[in-house]
Formats: sequence, C-alpha cells, structure tokens
Amino acid sequence: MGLIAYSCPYVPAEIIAAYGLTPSRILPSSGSFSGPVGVTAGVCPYMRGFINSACASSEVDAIILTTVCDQMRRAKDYLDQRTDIPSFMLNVPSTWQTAEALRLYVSEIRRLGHFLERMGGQPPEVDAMWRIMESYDRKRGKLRSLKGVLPAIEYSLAIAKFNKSGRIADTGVNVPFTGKGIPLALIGGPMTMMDFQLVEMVREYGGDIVLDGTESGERTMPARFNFRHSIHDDPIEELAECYFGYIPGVFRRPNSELYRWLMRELDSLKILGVILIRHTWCDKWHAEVCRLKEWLKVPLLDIEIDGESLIVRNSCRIQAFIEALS
Amino acid sequence: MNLDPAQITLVEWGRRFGELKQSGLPEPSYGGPLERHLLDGDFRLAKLKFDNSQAALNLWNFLLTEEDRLYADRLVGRKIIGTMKDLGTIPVMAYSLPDVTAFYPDGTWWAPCVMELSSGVLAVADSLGLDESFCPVRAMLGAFVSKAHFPNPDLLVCSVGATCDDFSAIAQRLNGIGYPILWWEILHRRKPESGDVPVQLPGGFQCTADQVLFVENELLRVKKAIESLAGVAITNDKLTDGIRAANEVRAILRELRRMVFTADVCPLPALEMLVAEMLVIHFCSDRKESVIVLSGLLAEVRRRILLGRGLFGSDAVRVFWVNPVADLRVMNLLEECGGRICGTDYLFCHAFDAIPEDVEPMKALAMMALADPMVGSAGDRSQRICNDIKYFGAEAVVISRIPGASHCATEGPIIADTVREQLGLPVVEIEVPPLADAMLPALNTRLTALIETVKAGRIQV
Ligand code: SF4
Ligand code: SF4
Repeated sequence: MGLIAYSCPYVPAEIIAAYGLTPSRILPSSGSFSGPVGVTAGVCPYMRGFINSACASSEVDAIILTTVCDQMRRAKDYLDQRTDIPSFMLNVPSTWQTAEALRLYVSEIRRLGHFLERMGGQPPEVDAMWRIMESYDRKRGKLRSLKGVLPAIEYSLAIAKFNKSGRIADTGVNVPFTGKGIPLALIGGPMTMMDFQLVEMVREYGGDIVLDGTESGERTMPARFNFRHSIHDDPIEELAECYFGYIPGVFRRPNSELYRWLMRELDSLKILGVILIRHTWCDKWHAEVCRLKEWLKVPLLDIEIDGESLIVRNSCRIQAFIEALS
Repeated sequence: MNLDPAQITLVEWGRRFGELKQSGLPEPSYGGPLERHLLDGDFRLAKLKFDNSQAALNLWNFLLTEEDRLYADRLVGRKIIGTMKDLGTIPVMAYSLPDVTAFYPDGTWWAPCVMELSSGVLAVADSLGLDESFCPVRAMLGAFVSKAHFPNPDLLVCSVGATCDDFSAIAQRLNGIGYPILWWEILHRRKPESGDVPVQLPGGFQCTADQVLFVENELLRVKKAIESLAGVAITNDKLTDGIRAANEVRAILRELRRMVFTADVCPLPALEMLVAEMLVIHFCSDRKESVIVLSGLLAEVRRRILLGRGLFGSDAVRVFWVNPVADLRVMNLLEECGGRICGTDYLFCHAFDAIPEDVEPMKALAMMALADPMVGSAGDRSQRICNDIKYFGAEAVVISRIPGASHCATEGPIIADTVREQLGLPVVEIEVPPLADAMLPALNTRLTALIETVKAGRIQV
C-alpha cells in the first residue's frame, strides 16, 4: 500500500486511508542536510528536515505539502526540480471567516482525492468513507483519554506515533499522572524528534510540561466528527469542518482562534510559565513572540532551535527560567 | 537645455537645477531642487548618482513627494486606503473612484535606505519583536507606529495565502497592536489538471477557472469595503474606465522598458528605471500625474535613442536583475562595474502586463492578481525570467537576495539553475542590506567578476 507522507495537521489522514493508501504524518528526526534541500541560509530547519527525511525513505510514494507557510509552499519547488517523488500542494486558506474559505478547503480535499487516485488509490464509497472516519475518531478518542494520564510529552509522543502509523501504543497506565514540578506549557511550531530532548531538560530543572501546544501536540488534533448525519451526507464536508474549521493555527489571518485556544487551556491547567519553541527562520512563530509576551499573564521563554543541536545556551536559559518561577 | 546624458550627484543637480530654472524650466506642483529632500531626512540621495534629464528630475520629485500628497489628500477629505502586499491589483479598483487614494504602506521598505536608518522605523520594528531576521518590509510596522510617514489609512487591506511569510507575519503583528485589516485570500496558482477549465493569464502563466472565480469573490469583498468607505458604488463602467487608465500607465512603462533595455547604448540608468517601474503599482498616489511623469521619461529616452546618445558605452554588459535591492546605491554600483540593466523582475512584473479588457472587470482583476509571479511556483517565475532575458537580450543575471525574505532562500538557487540550464548565462547571487556601504567592496568584486566573465566570453566568441 503506497505510503503518503505529510507534515501539516490540515491534511486529513482519513481521506488518504479511504483511498486505500497509507497516511503518515512524519516528524523528522532533526533538520537533516542530506537530501534535496541542502545547506542554504534562510531555510527553515523543520521544512528541510521533513523534506529530506521523506525523500530519504524508500517507503514514501508521494508527499503532500500545504500552503500554510511560504517555506513549505516553496518546498514543492525542491521536490519538482530535484526529485522524482510525486507531490501535491493542498491549498489551505489563511483566511477562515468566510464560507468561501471553507468551500475552497472542501474542493481542495476533493482534488487531493484525484491525486490519490493517480497514486493508485481507489475512490471510496460514501459509507466506506464514514466508516474510516469512525475508526479514526474512535482511535483519537482513545488517544484523548490518555490526556492527563500520561505526562504531556508522552501524550504528544503517542499522538506523533498515531499520526505516523495510525497505531496507539498500549501504555498500560491508567492512574492519572501527577507531576510535581512547576506547571508549564509548550507552544510553537512542530517539533523534530530531537527537539523532544528539550522536554527532558525542563524535567531535569524542575518543570513539568502539562500542555503541549506545539504543532506536533494536541492543539492540532481535529474535532470529533458528528455521526448524526445521514449516511448520504457528504463526509468530506464533515472532515472540512473538523479540520479546517477547528484546528487553531498561527498562520490564520487573523490568528485570534489560536489565542482563544491558549487562553482556555492556560487558565484551566493553571500554568505558571510558557516556553515557545520556534525554528530559525520561521517568521510566523517568530512574529508572535513579542505579542505573546504582551498578552500572556505568565512569563514566556522564547527558544529558537536550528535543527542541528539543542545548543547549551538553551539549557541554561531553561534552567534560569524555571528557577525564576520557583 | 538638453545636455548629453550623464549621471550626476545631488550637488551637481543643484547647479543643474539653477540653470534649468534660469532657462525657464516649467515645473510641476511637486517640483523643486532635489537637494531639498535632504531636509526631510532622505540622506541616501547624497550618495546616489542621478540621470541629468529634466524628466528624471520630475520622476524623483514625484516619488519623493508622495507623503505630501497623501497628507494633502487627507486634508481635502479623500478616503485613503492602505493596500498591502498584492502589488498592482487593489489600487486599480480604488482609483476607479474619484475621491479615493490608495497607497502601499509596504513602500516603507525603502525608508531605512533612503533615510539612512535615521527614521527609526527599524528600531520600532525591533522593539515590537521584528528583528533583522525579517525582510526590510518590517519598516512598515515602524512607520505605522511612529505615524511619521503616511496618514493613518481609512481602510487597510492585505492579501494573504500564497504570500511571503514575512509580510503575513508583520501584517498580523500590525493587526495585533490594534490596526483592523481586511484580509483577502490569494491562492497559490496552480496549473490546470484534468477536469479543470484552464485560464490563460496575462504574462503567460496558467491557472484554473475555479481559482479565478475564488479570487474574484475575494476581490468583491474588498470592493464592497471600498464602496462602503467611499459611499459610492464601483460600477462596472467605472471599473472598466479604471482598468483602461491603468493600462495606459502600463503601456507607457512597457514601451519604456522595451526601448531602454533593448537600445544599443543605455538611454536611462538603472535607478531611474527602478523608480519608473515602482510608479506602476499604485501610481505614486496620483494616477494622472504618473502618466505625465512616465511620458516625460519615454520622450527623453526616444530623443536620446534618436540622437544616438546614451550612458556607459556600447560595451556595457547587459544584466538582468532579479529582486529589488534594499539599498538603491547598488544599482549605481552595477553601472560603475561596467554593467547596465537589460531586464528586471523586481517582484511585481505582472503589474506591467495589460489587464484584460475583454472580460468582466472584476474577473480581469482576479486574473491580474493570479498572474503575480510570487503566488505561483519558483519554476513558473524562473520561466518568465528566462523568457524576458531572451526578449531583452541580457547576457548575465544578478539575483539579489533580500535579507530575511522567506522566498529568497529557496527561490534563488532554482532561478539560478534554470537560467544556467536553459540559457547558459552566468548568474551571481548577492545579498543587499538596506545600507550596503560596508559591503560595497565585496559586492563590487562579485559584480565585477560577473561583468568580466561576460566580456571574456564575448572575446572568445
Ligand atoms: S516551522 Fe514555521 S517556517 Fe518551518 S515549516 Fe513550520 S510553519 Fe513553516
Ligand atoms: S521583499 Fe519578499 S519577503 Fe519582503 S515583503 Fe516583498 S515578497 Fe515579502
């Protein structure tokens, strides 16, 4: 079964699976330089890591990119010019307050379907599509039940694993996790696997990540599907509502929903500090740092990561940040 | 009083202005000696070399008095629209109404250079969290906050979607500090697939009928907002007239480019051509006058070509320039190194194409917006660049990276590869900050090497 790699949370895995192909939302291990995206100043290390690792994998049959940021939009140029891997650009609108934006997203999902057909997929019957959505919804329900049971980062790793493989690890844990450290939130762009080591640093210095609001964490899970539809209703519209209409993104214009989501989560989890993780050259998150500092009621630590190493300086800054909150 | 074409300094322009005055120079309302702009803080002018024609004097004066025009428009009650990012589309709509002025706050891009960092706009942007890792357009944020560069617009519109991250992020920051923005979506242009109705766009790109329709609907939202601000409907007739008027400006500019870039000897320097191209995107806040200014330049160029006069000699290397330079001084530098500009893509070459007049006007504007090279792939943009290089007969290409710009890192290598593969021309990539003084020796070396490569190739041929 063809493996279709992607990184953007606005790509519904369900549609790929419904066409009989294997969706895999990849988190690269780091910002690897080997592949079509070489050493060029100004390139986001996450984009580089994603493209290079997807291209390095012999299992990947096609790559889906989206327009949520210019770096990813332009990554398609690398794929077209420097590789033979088929790729698809999903136009995810930045605006979201008009019915046209949602309609555009719906039409883009249908267009993605045609691409998947070209990749060897079979268009699903309507009821088969609903069944796949039910199956994903069930699994995500199980995932959600791990929130608060697993430490936030293990919860994120479980989400990452599910996104990559469609499988949920059996944790064997059912007692809620109660951290003893200072409750902190992570927010920001997506994390490479290497970046998860930052969380270890936080733990070492006495912090507890209780909310992962990065792009790889729970923030980018779609809403639960509404199955009270008639079986003849269009499942793509429901997918669009639950992905495009629900996931708060930094790229949205305006991106007020992201702030609303944050406010809700920070208040309910009684968070005392926020760590923002952003990749070098990621303008969308970088521009939010100052605004977040003005807006948040708790202190914010801005961590820039370059995809190569976690930099000793970051360790010192995390330590100082947590000490100051103690 | 017609002299041989030459580049002269600001001080020399002072003397020349006196002579022109004495000989009865007819002056437009914004006329006057160029040196007076130094008092407004435009210190970079003192380091530039200018064309010595009266047409160039009018061009510079027209450009450097835009701020005064905007404040004057505010005083007489004209509605002012700050249109951001689309480069060439919304102003056509706005100028279809008599009492509306549209301008690009993005134009502050050049303020740090022109004012040699004295304006403080970058410092304000820094203080709001937008440091030098962003494109120089961050100066716009400083300009809004300092309120010193343009009147606060009555309406702000911004295109988002298939745009650079820099602009989208900066505009969101602006919105976050309290400036309401009407966002409209520009799609990533794509080629038609099976089942799509293909649409041929001005400039040669293709997209689909659905994409045109979507963008048309987005532009309708902007149109409604302008109408409600102005209290007047933008009827199809008015818009058609607006498109016709914009096409008049575009036609003059196209002819100017054709004549200047294909002439045996360069009839007008790079800097004046850059400014002339900029006028097209929003008419420098006065559409009628922009026609007069550009027509003056075109007449001067015709005169020079007819007389066989020009600058830099006939062996100057014909260079195609990609992306605008943050420091205008670098355009002079290319000429000092032995080059001349024969073709440009300063990120808005779609604004030179004629807007279709044989389709509904809103559809025509949507097609224009989708024809922007920056909303499609770098492959598309590279192809247009290659076509233009062939048309203008350029011998070498300079890709000028814009510091911090999200598109430059990925685009530059692709454009360079395409030019080398398709045309076999030498390409050099440089990066130009807003004040490039410290880098001028290094830039000089790179540009000279490019020029020498071309000249060596000519000898071999
Ligand atoms: S981290 Fe930022 S720049 Fe990089 S791919 Fe994600 S959104 Fe784009
Ligand atoms: S120069 Fe490039 S990065 Fe800067 S605003 Fe223009 S398109 Fe965006």
